[in-house]
Amino acid sequence: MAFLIWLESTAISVWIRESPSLWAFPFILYLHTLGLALLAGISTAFAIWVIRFAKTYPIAPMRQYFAYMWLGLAINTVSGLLLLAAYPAKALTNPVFYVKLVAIFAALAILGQLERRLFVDSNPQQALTPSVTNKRLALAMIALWLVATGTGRFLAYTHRILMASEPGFY
Amino acid sequence: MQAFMDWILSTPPSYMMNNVRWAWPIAETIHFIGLIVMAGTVAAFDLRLLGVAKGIPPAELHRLIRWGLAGFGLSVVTGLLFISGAPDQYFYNNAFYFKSICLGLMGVNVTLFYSLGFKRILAMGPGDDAFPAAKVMAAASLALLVGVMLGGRMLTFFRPVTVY
Repeated sequence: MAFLIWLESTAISVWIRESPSLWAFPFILYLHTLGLALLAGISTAFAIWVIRFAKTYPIAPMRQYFAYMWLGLAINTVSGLLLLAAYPAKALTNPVFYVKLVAIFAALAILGQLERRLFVDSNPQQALTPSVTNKRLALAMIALWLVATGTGRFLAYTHRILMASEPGFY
Repeated sequence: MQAFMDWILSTPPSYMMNNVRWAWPIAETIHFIGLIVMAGTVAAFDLRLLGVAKGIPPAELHRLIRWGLAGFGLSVVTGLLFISGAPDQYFYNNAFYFKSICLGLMGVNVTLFYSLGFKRILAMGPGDDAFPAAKVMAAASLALLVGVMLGGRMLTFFRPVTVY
């Protein structure tokens, strides 16, 4: 708890939390939504493609979308860490936050697996129907993004502590 | 306006949003899931028109759009639930009007796209470049998506004082 109190008192944490500027907490929160749309959105579209449509054309060109997904991951890593710095106790004392993290890491692991299996281990220059395993992986990734999204929303409603330095203040 | 808001607050959806314990976060979750599916599928198609994944014909990627429409439907329904739960938070909120204008312009853009250029897009094969007007509409679609998300996220910070 001492670490959380220290983190809350750092200049960056205070600025994000208390600045009246729209460039502080509101803009960082917006970036987190933008990153969500890029990462979870485009990877979900890609997963639907793998499950439902990928068989007529070689899949190789679809790899270009991964650059946008990884851009979304970069945006959300930075914005997520900044949001965490603003209210560390709110997230770190809430079990829902850890469910969100596990869902995100599992979804990312599957996304990496899909990239390797579809573009490296098989021949992406040939039109192929994705294997049942790859389709199941794609479906699991969609489910994990749904869990990550839901837990992200529920964080605002399930925290027990907002500030470690003000334990009675929700 | 007050009478209209009072009527909204008297409807069953409004009652549900204000009295069922987890209604608001569940609706928010569904709203965001709708956003993810819509933004992801529409962005994938728009990016193709702008030159990404050119080896896939746009008509193939357009098959994703029906999923995007389903996502949009989820977001519209849950968005209306939010308004029913706290109409003053939206009707006296400039971020809501910004978001609504972006949504309206998206509608205009989509109508133009399907009435002016869709047949030419469907005829495109692998490797074909979209015609300039289609690229402009795809870029506008992406910009308006970003605008809708910006307006949605800023709603909280432009709420009227009465809400606090």
